[in-house]
Amino acid sequence: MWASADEVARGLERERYIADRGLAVTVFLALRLGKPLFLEGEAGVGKTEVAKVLAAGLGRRLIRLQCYEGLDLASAVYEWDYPRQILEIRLQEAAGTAGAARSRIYSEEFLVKRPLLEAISSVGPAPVLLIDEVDRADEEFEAYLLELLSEFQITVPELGTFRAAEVPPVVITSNRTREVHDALKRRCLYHWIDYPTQERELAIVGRRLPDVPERLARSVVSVVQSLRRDDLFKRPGVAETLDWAMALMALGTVELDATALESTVGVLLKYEEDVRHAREDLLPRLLEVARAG
Amino acid sequence: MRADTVARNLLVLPRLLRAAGAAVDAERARLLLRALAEVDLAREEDVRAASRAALVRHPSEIPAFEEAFGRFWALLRGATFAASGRPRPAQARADGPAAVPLAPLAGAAPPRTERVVRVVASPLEVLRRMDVAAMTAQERDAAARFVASLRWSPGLRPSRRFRPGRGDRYDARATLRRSLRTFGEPLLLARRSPRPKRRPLVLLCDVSGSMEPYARLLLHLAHALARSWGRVEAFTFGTRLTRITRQLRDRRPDAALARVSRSVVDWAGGTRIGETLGEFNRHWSRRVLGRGAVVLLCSDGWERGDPALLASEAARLRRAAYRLIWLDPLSATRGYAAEAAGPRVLSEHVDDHLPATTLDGLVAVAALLNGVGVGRPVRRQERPVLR
Repeated sequence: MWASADEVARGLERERYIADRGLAVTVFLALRLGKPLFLEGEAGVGKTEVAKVLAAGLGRRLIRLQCYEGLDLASAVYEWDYPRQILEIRLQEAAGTAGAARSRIYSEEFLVKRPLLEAISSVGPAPVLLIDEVDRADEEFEAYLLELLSEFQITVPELGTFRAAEVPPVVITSNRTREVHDALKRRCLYHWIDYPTQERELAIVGRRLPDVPERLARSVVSVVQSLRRDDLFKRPGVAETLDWAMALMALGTVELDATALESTVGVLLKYEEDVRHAREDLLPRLLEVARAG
Repeated sequence: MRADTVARNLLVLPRLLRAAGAAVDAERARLLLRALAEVDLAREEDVRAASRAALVRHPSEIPAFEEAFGRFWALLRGATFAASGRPRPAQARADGPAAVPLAPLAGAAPPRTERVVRVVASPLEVLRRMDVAAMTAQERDAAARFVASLRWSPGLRPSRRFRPGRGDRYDARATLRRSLRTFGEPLLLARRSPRPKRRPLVLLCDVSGSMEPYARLLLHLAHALARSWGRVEAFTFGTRLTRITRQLRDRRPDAALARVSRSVVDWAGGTRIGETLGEFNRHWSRRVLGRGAVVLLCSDGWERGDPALLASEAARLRRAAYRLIWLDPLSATRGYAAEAAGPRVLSEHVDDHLPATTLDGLVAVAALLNGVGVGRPVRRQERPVLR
């Protein structure tokens, strides 16, 4: 485990993630205090990526739970393998040992472990648990998480209690399509990931896409930074910056001119209004920004 | 900064933050101490990040935090502040001339003699057909109580959670349990059906000058709904959009409305519906219009801005909402054919356009809402938006 915030920052950078100081300190504290890390921020600023690089950097397995409405215990925690249980009853019956079936069918062999139980019950070093987009799940699931995140144990009534040998590092992300309850946030360390500054975004592009010529990278980052200051329906995130740089590379663009910008703006902006606004009103300004670099 | 200076003064920070209006409980303060024990106290940046991670729970708290932390650090550097500090925002606003109370001020009786004589409010039957704008303060109170007493149920939607039922989903778990009754033979297939949930309701209330008489009643309604239905998000708009959901959480209607009036700065001013709807669409719709929300737009549709903008923003709002209902207090007085561009454009882009001039009008709104179903939204063919 990393021993200081500096080591966290270096560890993340080795995995090609460039974190600002605030994030590095918060990640370090989450690991040190055994608290879940609650990350919020606009879409595409690299919230999920934190968990991925954390797992890679620590050399741990990543267990990801993608949340959605209606996520229930059966798909988040565990489920019994009902068809196999029914088959097993039949088999035991045929073998004339039906009495044994009862104790057999509720053994771990018939238990299907879902991400949360998997994270708690794994042997060896604890995996990194990513609970992604928790705002998409409903309140019922959030309430269940409260219990899990304070005790780090799961009880299967028919089988007994699983307790984490080592508290796994937990990363929870939210896109704020719904306000997550305070009770959940209270158990976590909170960090808001903002859009990166120009220098940091340039560093990110350089680290992630080393093949992009520096001049092009500068233009790309400047245009994106400038677009973010506009009143758009959906502002482009870092993920869009990287996609755009890759798209321009794929088209063999050396310099960002009007044609290149106009034909690839759909990589950056995903709403028709925004695309039209950029094409009709913003193009001259963006070109100027791109030339200035 | 010397580390021991920081260590000796740690608990000043949560106090500064509380003074700035953030709710810092003992648990967060404890977490702060644990966090700071792990970082280099001499590094401002690290102390700041650790404190923020422990104390902040919500992006809206970040500015207050940054300010409190700035003061904290300056205090440690030896800066002194006036003993009283800055005036509290609530007090400052209460004295200011901008505050227009929604609840009648104590002792400020309306000077219109003819009305003041009649202390007893009109009987309900008369009240129900009276234009809300023509009511006295007492009558409006009675009207508010009446409106709050109606049954408001903005409908249910099928959720993605299930319960045992006659639905078309097969329930493996219950089937296995049932098969025990038939000696392990799964004869009876158990089924499940979606459990219905309450639809969120979003209230967008125009508080511009022309809507003033109606706004208070509608905000009373918003408060009653927030209390009874629970899933209510409320916004006011005139020249700008203000979210008032948190202010409405106060249990007492008058206190809640007083808080609303303190936070709404464009009360009884002009109106820019297109622009404020655009602001709502860009910054709030993704957060509050999920899960099949019903939108009540309370406005007279009086738009000074560009009708094309209003059209495109209203169309977008309608696409994002399960149902867009326009409550229009002035529909009766405006005459049958709405000449003005605003109301005409708006009526083309909503699902329902209901008059809400009288209490009877609001009764009809309640009836419509109670009828909003579980099924797919009613939608007409989208008209192309011309720009």
